[in-house]
Amino acid sequence: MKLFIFCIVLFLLLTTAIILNMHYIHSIIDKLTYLTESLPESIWEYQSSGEKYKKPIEEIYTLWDKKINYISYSIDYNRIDSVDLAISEIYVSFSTEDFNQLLLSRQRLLDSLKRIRSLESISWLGIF
Amino acid sequence: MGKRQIGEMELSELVITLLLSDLATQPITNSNIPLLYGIVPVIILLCLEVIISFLSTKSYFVKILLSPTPTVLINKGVLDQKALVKMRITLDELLSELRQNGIIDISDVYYAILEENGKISVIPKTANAPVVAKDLNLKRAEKGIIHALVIDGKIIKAAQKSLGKDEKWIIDTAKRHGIYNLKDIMLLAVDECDEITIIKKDRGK
Repeated sequence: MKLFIFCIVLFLLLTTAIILNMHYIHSIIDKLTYLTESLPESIWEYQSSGEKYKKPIEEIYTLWDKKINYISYSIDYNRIDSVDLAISEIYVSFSTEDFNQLLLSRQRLLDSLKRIRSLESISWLGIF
Repeated sequence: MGKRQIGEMELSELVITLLLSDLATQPITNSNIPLLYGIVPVIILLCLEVIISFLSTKSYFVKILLSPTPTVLINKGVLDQKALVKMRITLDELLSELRQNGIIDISDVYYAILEENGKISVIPKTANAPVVAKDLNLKRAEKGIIHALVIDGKIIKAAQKSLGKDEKWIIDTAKRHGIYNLKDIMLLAVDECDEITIIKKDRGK
């Protein structure tokens, strides 16, 4: 009976931890998605007022750098690498004013974030 | 799953064992997977296994839902051919099981039951059943189990405690059997009627 109660408690604790972790990762991903989406989708806007977007790009970089260790506990390293690469590319291509690359990396980052969010959700897609 | 062996596992236990072994190796064999991908499902499966086992003992419905029920293969001396086909057991296999139970002729069997763990229980017809003390109206004292008090010259403390025998009793008993050194004893066993079995060590003469 003691073992049964212990297992029930452990099972509930783990389930709660998984759900809390899922919500926390969602909040990070949502924030990153919001910041990435705030970057414009046309080269012209970067060329006309490029400095305006320096701050959100640095925010994306800093946020990811701060959370990457926690995220890597529960997310496939391949997915983390793809986000890591896309953020680095955005950061570098903005500095070198390679806006074509920046647009490509922006889209790649959005796709990777979307994929991580769906995999970290309790859904049929998450299972399969 | 405790001390039970693979052959004695229930279906859910077998499935969980296979899943556990596969899950545990995932983070080891694939370096792209975080360690938690292996640890969390393993703990969850173990918890589920204990919960399911507990519910099976408490609820008959859960028990029959998760475990197979025994199947009668020979019913009152009549071979149930449909049950054999259903359980995918050939007649050769059944005869082999009967031989392993000391029965040569199938007509000597009154019941043969395929148990949940896959073993076949054989109950012979009364005429072929071995004679026991009760049949002869004999009264025999219960001997209980035999406790090994000394193994390879060493006193087994747990057996000594359960029998309530001190070291002096063991040494005196050995002396009565012509053994003056405990190291010369291979086995000294006592049953619950104080009947002693003593085997001296073979010194390779």
